[in-house]
Amino acid sequence: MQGHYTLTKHKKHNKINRAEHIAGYVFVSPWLIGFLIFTAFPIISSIILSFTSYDVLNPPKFVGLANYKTAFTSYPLFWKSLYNTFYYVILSVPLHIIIGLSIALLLNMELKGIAVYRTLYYMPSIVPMVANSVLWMWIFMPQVGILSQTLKIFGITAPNWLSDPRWAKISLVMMSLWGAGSGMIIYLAGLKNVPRSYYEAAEIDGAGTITKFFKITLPLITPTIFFQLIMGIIGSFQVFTQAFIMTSGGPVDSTMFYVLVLYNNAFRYFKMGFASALAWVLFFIIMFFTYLNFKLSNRWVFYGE
Amino acid sequence: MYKKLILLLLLISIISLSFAGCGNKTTTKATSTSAKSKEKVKLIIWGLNPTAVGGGDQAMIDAFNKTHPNMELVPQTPPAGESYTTQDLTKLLTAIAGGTPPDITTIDRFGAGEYAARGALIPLDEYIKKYNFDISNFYKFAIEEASLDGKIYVIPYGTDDRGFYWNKKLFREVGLDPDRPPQTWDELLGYSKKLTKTKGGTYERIGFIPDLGPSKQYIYGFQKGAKYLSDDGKKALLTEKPLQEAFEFMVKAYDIVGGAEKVRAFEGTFQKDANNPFFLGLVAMKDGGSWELGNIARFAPDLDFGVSYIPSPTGAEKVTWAGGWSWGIPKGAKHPDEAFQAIKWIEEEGQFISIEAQAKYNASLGRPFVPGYTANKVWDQKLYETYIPKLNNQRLQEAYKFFMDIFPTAKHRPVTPVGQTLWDELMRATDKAVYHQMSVQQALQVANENVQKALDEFWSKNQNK
Repeated sequence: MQGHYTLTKHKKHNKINRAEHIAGYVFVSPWLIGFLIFTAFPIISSIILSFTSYDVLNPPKFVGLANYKTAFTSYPLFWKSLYNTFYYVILSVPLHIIIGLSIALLLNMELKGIAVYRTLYYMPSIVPMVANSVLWMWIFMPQVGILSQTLKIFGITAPNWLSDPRWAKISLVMMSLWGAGSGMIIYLAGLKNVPRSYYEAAEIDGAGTITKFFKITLPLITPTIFFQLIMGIIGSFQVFTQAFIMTSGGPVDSTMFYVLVLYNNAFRYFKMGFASALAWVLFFIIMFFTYLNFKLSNRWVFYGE
Repeated sequence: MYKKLILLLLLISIISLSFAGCGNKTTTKATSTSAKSKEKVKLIIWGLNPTAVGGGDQAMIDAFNKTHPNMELVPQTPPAGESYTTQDLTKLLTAIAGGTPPDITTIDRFGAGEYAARGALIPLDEYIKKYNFDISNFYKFAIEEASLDGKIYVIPYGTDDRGFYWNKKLFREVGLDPDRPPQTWDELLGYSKKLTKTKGGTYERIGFIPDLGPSKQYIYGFQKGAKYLSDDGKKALLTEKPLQEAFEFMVKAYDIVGGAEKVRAFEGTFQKDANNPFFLGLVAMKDGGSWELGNIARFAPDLDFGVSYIPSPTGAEKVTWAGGWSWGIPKGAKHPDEAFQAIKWIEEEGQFISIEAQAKYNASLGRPFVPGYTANKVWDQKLYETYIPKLNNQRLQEAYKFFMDIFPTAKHRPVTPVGQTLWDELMRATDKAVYHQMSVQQALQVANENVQKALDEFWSKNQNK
């Protein structure tokens, strides 16, 4: 009797469970189908294509690891573009964190009209990248551009920005910092989460502003910084639009970033297979750095108790 | 268990959906051919822009639809494109691969070879014969550029060539004979130096920048008789002496006015249209395209300029390089036969309707109108006689005639399946050489290797083609 009772209850429960399951899948199916068709399918196809020679117009031909071998052994632009991309990542990610955080600290004050400042600082990051690029081409205009003119007031002779192979990458990093506001908003959220009582306690103990920042603020927002670091690395490795529009990789390949090389191979030289291989190499590079960051994170990221 | 089942079902449905997509294509094709005779055939065309104010394409489309009761020309903006006339080949590429190409597409003749070599364009010889399309009056270079392995893949539509523009006022200013352009490379360099003006370390004017205009290194290579590729198209010949000498000239032309880095920085300040650096006197001489006459007419009608052949090694090598647009029928187009009829009409009648509409529009604004060139010598003569006498600007009249008369001396870029690679590598080599990051010889050596690699890869895959 007892056994029978539990069995039916279990069955009933199972039935409801199943109905809920199905309903659940039906509800998420628009996203699920979209994900499978437009994300999962292309990702899987690109793995397969990376082992083929494929010009889009004719059926792919299996070539084994040849594309990967070419990239590593006989395609100088692969290394050149990796160098450029690393240069960009190493310069831009830390600067983004420092500047984003600094702006956030400034905008975390209780001032009248602070919302206006926050809006102003955030605004550049909602400008579409293409518009942004065109705008900065003017800003970077040698001699007559606003940047060179401003430096001239202080007696500094500006470099030729985008037409100097030594400055072109740095120029693009500077330009990207204009969008540091997007990080600022996330740091602000992190800063708002730091309990005020900690500061009060520290003040009673006689801690100054700098001590408070390094002993309280910084440790408590490390999860936010960590998040920004990961996202920043993923984003910067894929830098493309600026170089595509502003420099097309020049001068002398100095802004030939990895994804630009990938794009050129795919859509200009009809080498979809090779481009897919390049994409997967980049994927593993980004994966590696993300993994490394997670591994190292327990040394400096503080999640509270 | 259920989770897995549902996932599986979803996967199966997706896979079957994608197969259904493939199946559909063949069935619609079959029905469209059988129903062809009755229904009005809609021809999707990429490359006509009915929305451009004063562009004339709408007038052409209207006229076509009126005179062809069984066909309708439907201009389409390519997916995600902002403009109707796009040179963004990625869209065409994906449309052909996806089995949904337009019936007719515009294509830069330069890119036609790459598409044709990969079987993405339908050869048109059969249709040319069937509909008696007269190609005998097209310029030789235009037909050559439209052909691959003896077959014609696109019909040239509009063409352009390049020449040397010089500012006579600035010539007078520095004491040069305004009516005599430099003839040789050496003379050009001398003039360039003389016309360059600096103030406090920055340029006020540069005499001549060798690749400011659309000619790039090709014009100097053509002057020297450089071949670029072997006759069978399988071997890159970029390290040969003529091309090296052309590159050395460009390096010299940069160095004599201050070096590539400084010059390119000055170039970075240049604007377009009314603020064209040549109109403003920021450059005194330039290599320019025939199409720039239209801009002069509109923005700088009073500019005191002359046009001539681009100065050459000894002054005797009188060549230009020409390019232009064309119409092609992509593989997988639903109505190739009607598409060709439409192309024929656009070439023989449509473009004149369009040009007439443009002329009227310009006249209504009181602007002078300079038509483009058609790639067909008889038609060009017709345009010349119709529109050029109406221009009350002798300099423009002479320049128009000059660019028309030199078409027989025109050369074109090699027709090759690796055209884009060749172009990019030559541009890269130019950069490396003029920035002195490599010697000319080294830069061309690298370019040659890369182009050869691309050629080998293509030919190893397409041996039987």
